[in-house]
Amino acid sequence: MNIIGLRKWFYGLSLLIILPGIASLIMFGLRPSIDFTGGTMIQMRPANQITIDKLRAVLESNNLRDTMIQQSGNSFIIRTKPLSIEEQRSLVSSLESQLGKITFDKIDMVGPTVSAELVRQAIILVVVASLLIILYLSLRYKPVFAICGVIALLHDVLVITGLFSIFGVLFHAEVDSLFVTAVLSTIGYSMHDSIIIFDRIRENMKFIKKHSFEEIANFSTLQTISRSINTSFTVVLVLLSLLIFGSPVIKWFIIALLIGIISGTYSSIFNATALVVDWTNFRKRMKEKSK
Amino acid sequence: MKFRGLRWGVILIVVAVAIAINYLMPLKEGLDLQGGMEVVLEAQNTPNITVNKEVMQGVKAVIENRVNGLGVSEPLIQLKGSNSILVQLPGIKDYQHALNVIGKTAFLEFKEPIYDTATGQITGWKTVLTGADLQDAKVGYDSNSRPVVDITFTSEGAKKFAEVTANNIGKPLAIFLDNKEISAPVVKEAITGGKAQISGNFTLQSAKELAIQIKAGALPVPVKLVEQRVVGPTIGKDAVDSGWRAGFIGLLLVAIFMILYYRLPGLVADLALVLYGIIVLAIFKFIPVTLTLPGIAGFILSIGMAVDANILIFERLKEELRKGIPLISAMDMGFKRALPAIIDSNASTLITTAVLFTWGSSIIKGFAVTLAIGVIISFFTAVIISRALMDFVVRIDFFKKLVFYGARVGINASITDEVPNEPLLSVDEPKSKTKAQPLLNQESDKNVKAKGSDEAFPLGEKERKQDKTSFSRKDRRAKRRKK
Repeated sequence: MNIIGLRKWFYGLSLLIILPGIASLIMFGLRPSIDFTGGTMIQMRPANQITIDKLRAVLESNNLRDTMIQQSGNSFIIRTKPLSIEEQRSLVSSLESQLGKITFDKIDMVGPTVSAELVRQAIILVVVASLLIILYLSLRYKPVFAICGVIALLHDVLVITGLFSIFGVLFHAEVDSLFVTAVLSTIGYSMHDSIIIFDRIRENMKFIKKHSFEEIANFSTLQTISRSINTSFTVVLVLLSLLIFGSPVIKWFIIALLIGIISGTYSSIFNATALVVDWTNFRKRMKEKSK
Repeated sequence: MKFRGLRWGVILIVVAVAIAINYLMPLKEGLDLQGGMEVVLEAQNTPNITVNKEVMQGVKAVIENRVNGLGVSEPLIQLKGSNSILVQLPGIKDYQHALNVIGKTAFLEFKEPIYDTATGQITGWKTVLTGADLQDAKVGYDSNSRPVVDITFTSEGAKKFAEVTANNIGKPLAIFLDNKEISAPVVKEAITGGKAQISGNFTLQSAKELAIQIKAGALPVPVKLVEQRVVGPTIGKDAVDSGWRAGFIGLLLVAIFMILYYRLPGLVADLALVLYGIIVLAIFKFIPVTLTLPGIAGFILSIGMAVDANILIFERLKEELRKGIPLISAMDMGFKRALPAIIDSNASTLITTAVLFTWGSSIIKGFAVTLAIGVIISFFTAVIISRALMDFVVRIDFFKKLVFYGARVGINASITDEVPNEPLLSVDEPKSKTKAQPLLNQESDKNVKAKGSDEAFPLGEKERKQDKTSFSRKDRRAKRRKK
């Protein structure tokens, strides 16, 4: 099997997923949760049957006009501006007096200063983690490996954010602090995967006199492919069971992790090493030309 | 293996200690799991007071007193940044009540009226006593059984109050809370006992709140709610129950997969995985790590990485076996050769977790901690425990059959078949003892019928050692210099 030889097809497959994602990101962006916009999110279960209209009327009597209400079964999610202690108290008491007993499952409030800080933090986290990994890999391997590993990693970040932009449009999936966590785990995981293959290439480089780098890269990929797929498979097994049997609270977090792990494995096997090969070939051609 | 006895000793002690910790200590669950409230309050500057470290210490002391008044077990009150304070109240049910108690400034003032000398009209109020003059407060009832707050003055305050009431007989004495008048009873006689009653339009709830606030004292500056997370008790419990169940099912599937795919080593890895779980859980309890939902996710992800270390080793072992290398040395090589990959990949994960821990919010930190602990421990279990178990197993004659290792020589010959340039196979024969080909009928593995191995890149120990560094900067520089 010549995986490296087929790399153009694999690049194509990556683009097939990434491009619609980017288009969706440009057109619709992401649906940030209150973590990043600031606001109040209330998740509640009223004991009595109520309608969205009735709920909206109560909210409007509390001067909350720009609210979003989502219903799933007997559970309602309300999103509105950041509420102060007094505003919350009067809202809760008027909800209970007009709609009957209510169980509040979640009340989150994020003020505007905090949300701005969380956005800044998310960006810092992704950038710093990537830079440190490049640095570490440059010390352990050639810098070109580090750079290609990070490109594969950006591929994964684009896949997750792109897909979440699409999911946001289709299923109201929101991007919150947990999403950032999922992206960062993907970064760690994808790098982990690329390193395994790079390590094999490093080991096999002694045959460079007899074989082209492309052949060595391909062989190294094949030698490690069952490990890459098996490892991902075990993680995917656990994540799938969390998705099916686990709490719905972290559903989107698990989905983000699943996408990240699968994309991370794919990009490590089919993109990272392929990019190193392309770079090496490019360098070779340039050298020949200059001769 | 000089240290084999020592190694088993270490493993047994570690596992025994871990089991003891698991048995004796409880697991600390975060707010999102046990339910409760977490708020961040930001202190506001006033015209008179600028928020600084001392002011924040004052705010913290008052909030601590108020939280004690609420009777929450294991609250956490922590200064955050230069002007914020984080309050965690695990398990609290009436969070609206709690929020009111801790979030109000509760600056209490007793004021006597100022009269216009010409008209005799009240034109303003003058503060004569404050909340600082009070010693105790509790909820009581007036003659109409409406809730009131019974207060007791300090001895100093009692004197002042006696004086003020004596001077104001027949006049109103107003009580202000946070600059809002709550009542203005008319003084009938001088009150000398140091006790009084605050009535207003109290509900039982708001009377309780005021009593706690009076006892704890007023905040030196007003605070504003900037972040709040409330998790209802049921949703957290559901999340825990379903989370553990899901994790268990997932792990069971992984364990079955490992046995099906890797046979005996898979079983060994599963055993190592169980020990891994026991040790990590013990460390969570010992430190203690407060387990949150993302924390559980981090733990589960780390299981994936723990399995990965084993998979790396066993894939390597399979490869070596396919070359026809005898079992025991194949296992040696499997562990040895997989090591650099395990170290590098774990290091990159640890770098990520360090970044998350340093710059992340508390949610993200919880994830980073569990993942980092998991990665470190997985290294220990994969490299030391799995190794010890494998060393033990391969020495049992019964387990020497290669079928237990899922490797048949030549099974993956297709790899080499399709590698271009068959002459790969004639790479210089390495001289070391682990030479690979062609290997027929190795002494220790009679079952191996090496049908021409698929070893494409045979290499010797020496070569490998030399080559390991060929990617390092030094080497590259040296090579350049040679040119």
